[in-house]
Amino acid sequence: MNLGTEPPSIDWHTTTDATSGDVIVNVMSGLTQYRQDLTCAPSCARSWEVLDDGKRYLFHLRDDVFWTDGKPVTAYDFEYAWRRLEDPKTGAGYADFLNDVVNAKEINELKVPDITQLGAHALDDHTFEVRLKKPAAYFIYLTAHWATYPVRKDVVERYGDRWTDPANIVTNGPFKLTKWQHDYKIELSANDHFFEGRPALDKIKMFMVAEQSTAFALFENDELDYVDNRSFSTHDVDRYRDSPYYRRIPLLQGSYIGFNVLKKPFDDKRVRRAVAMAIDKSIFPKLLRRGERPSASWIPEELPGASPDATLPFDPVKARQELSDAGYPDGKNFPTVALLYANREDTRLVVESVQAQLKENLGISIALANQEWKVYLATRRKDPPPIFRANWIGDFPDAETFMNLFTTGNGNNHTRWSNADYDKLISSAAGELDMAARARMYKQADRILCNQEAAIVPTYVSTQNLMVKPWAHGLAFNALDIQFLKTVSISEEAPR
Amino acid sequence: MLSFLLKRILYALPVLLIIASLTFVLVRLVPGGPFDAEKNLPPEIVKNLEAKYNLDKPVHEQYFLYLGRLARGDLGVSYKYVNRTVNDIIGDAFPVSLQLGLIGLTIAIFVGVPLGAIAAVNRGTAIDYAAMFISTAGISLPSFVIGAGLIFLFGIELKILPVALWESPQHMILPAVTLAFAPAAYLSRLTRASVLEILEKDWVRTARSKGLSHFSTIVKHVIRNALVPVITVLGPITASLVTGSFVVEYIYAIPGMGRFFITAVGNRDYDLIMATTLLFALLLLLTNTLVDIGYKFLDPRMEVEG
Amino acid sequence: MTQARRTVFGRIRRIPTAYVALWIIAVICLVAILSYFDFPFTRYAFDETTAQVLASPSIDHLMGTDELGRDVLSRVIFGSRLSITIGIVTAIVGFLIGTIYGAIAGYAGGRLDSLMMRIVDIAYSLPDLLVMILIGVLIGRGTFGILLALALTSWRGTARLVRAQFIQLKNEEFVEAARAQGQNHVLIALKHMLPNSLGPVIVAMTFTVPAAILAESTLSFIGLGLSPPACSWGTLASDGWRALRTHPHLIFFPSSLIFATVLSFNFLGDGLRDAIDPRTRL
Repeated sequence: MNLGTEPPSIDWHTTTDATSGDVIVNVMSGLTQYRQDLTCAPSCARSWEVLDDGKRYLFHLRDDVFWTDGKPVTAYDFEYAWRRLEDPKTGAGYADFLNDVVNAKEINELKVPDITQLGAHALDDHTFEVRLKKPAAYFIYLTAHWATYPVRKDVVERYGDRWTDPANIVTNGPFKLTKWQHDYKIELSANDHFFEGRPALDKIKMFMVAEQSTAFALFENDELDYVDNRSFSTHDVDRYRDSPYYRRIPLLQGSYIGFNVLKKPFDDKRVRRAVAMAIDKSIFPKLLRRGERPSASWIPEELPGASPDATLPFDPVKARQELSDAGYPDGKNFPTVALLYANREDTRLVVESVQAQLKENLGISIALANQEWKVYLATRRKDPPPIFRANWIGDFPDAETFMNLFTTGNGNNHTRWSNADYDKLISSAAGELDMAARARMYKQADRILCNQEAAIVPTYVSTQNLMVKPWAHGLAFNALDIQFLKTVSISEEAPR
Repeated sequence: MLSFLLKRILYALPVLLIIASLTFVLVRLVPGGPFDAEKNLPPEIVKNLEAKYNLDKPVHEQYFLYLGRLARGDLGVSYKYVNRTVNDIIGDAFPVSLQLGLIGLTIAIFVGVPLGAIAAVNRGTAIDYAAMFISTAGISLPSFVIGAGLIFLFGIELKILPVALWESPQHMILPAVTLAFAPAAYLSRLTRASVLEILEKDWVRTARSKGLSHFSTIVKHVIRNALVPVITVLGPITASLVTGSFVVEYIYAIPGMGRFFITAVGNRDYDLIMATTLLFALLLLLTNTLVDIGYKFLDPRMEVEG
Repeated sequence: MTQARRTVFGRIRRIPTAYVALWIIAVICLVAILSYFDFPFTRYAFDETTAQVLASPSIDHLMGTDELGRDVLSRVIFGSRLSITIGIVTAIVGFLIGTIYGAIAGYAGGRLDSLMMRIVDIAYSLPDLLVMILIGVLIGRGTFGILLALALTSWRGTARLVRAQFIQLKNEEFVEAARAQGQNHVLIALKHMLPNSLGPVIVAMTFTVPAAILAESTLSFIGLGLSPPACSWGTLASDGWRALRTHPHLIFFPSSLIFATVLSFNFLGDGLRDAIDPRTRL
């Protein structure tokens, strides 16, 4: 398979990178795991109890789970791991994942100096208790995410930063990390003692081929058994759309045009609404051709809470009207603004199209500013430009991961938009355990975000494009783009 | 010769120091820090990370800390690849680029120089124009187009060479040829011009009239003298070939050094940027010294000072 | 001087390849200049007609259309402006700075030469990309920023080349003779040494043009190129190379134009070398 790039780290506490995740989920197991449909199944935890109206979780661990060095996996490994995740010295990017856990945020922000105060304790070797500040409907999903996987204290302390080297690392998943040629490939081999049984594959080679057309050529020459979006340029899709090897599956990844609502001219919501109505979203699938869907709401339609009509419909006449109400009839006197985007092939097509549409439908000329990825992130964080293109991939299968993004004070809310009604809806939805009521709240919030206030213009939802060789069986992909390889097998006809 | 080398080394040290200082300042002038990751890190955590890598200290303090480590041969740590030191990273990647670069350089010299010399001797004939056409293709086609074409032709259509990756000697052929294209073309054009220049010199005409055979005239006198401009450009060409080409390594998925000139800057991986720059500078000083020795060898009358 | 110039042009006219090349360059430059005016083709460069995304070349679109349905011929014409400007300006700036710098270093020799060459070494040792990102950030990713970045990296090769020529020429009898006669240093350098060292330099200069056009292309390849919808042959090539197998027209036309331009510059440079060199007998 192709990873695309070198994982910055495979320490599941310090990395936030999706590429790292692809390695980690195949060498490790957490308390729970995702089924194909993204519900949670038992893993290291045999079962769990939800107590005190959703404020206390008790996980009962299996007693037959072992680390690769033979030691058993205990609740104390989880306790240490969760403390390490919140310990400010670790510098964990996903530390805010456990914000609902008692004292987690406080420890991470140094307000509570004693990390043993974290509301997550091993009661004995096989019982792990978590206490939450308030009920959180999505909490169980977090226990399937790799950020909450257990860690061996002795290994981390002995090897320091180098504990993830193939020679040092100790894991508990279906595969073992055996070789890591940096910036080139990672090799995993089967863990004979994996508690769910030895996986079918003896060895997995994960190459790091950044160029899509090269990766695709490797697939055509049978060097790769499957390729996904990372190896699919828009040109390749055209050639292979009709191939029997081609598959397409949903992905929880939404793209949007964001506004900095504190900056002119987008401090006026009429201008934002005008822009939203002047963009014909149906054009993006035609340009990108990888199965994108125009966004109907910010929450992708696979998730409860999504609605078919939260976004403003394409309506150039009304768009011009609102723009004129805001003081820019036919785009006259509209200030010069530059749309910021990160320089990638597909985003370039999108923003060039937006630029042309705004010119045609509103008569306004916007400039485009492309920045390389790092500079783009820094600019967006320090001083968000008036208008920018961005995307977001869900961390777990719940509307919360999308909607929390635009609450007041969220570190990734670059729109600087702040709406009390919205914040209240999101906060109560998180604690609401009645799914129907919860979905209603999200729908209402989505309308505020995309329609009434138009703080963002959701553009499209991506899909995962795959080419799989006929001899590769059992590839189980899910919408979070987490690729579990323990179910995969290669049949005899494979050329090698 | 010994004093010449000694002088060169004495000059090289301050040059390297200046380059180190200049790069140190330049990388910190570029906006963006090493910890602007995809998902935003909370400010407290960025503060922790910066403390860990001494990035919270004043810049001049960081500078002296860096020079101190450099003097001990410690190139520092990578901020992006947390469990690897810069020494590890360069140690893994440089041999790959060096190998590929030397093969590419050999191809470039052994194709480019003879092609240019043949074109010059047969000036104005079909051979000359054919050589011109080939070398023009070599310099006017971007290497990604050449690479894509070679992969398509030899890898996918003919299936005689691997399309990418770095596994066996066969894997080196396509990238080395791609890498050699532009310098070969450049060397052939330069050789041609330079040989023509020499052929018209009075002493060459004299040598010819003395009755030496046409062939030995060319070999003994012309090529030797014509090589002066050619080896002048060999210094920088060698230094840049052996430190890797981003484009070639990128399209062939080769774990070489070329990418660090791009990704390290993109990642604001300060120590890694410093190390790649210094390595490049060191190689350049080395190859240029070799070039100057080459001058002496080709034309003993030339006075080259350290 | 008028006399000399007439002779140079007159000589070029007698070299058919160089003469044809000169005309091709003139036509390309004319197109580049005309693209500043609003004639029909330039407008289509940005018009979106998504009905015809990635159309193959036809009567309607002689060079086909791109991913956004824009006419490739219009884009190529529009792109010539930037590519030609970048190529020529970079070459001239690099030639002027490099020749003067290299001549001084080579002629003076000794400590000054050493010092000046160390500065070249230092300038060479800074990664071009770092300098380019910095300039991009400080000045912006426009034409001017890219021009400045390329000009700053193009003079060093010429300087080294000219210096090497000068060191070699210094020992030639005719230079020593001139010096023995007590001639002015500047005069010796200009009159005797410069014309004799120009051969390789002019060839190198005809290489600077395509090198600059390609460097700009590489910049967009790594994502540091021009901001759209501005385009050049370089950005067109770097946007289109992935389409080599599916829509070859996207890469064929910009590459061919770069090729034709470079070939013309080569033939012209070759002719120029002969025309300038006083000892060439035609």
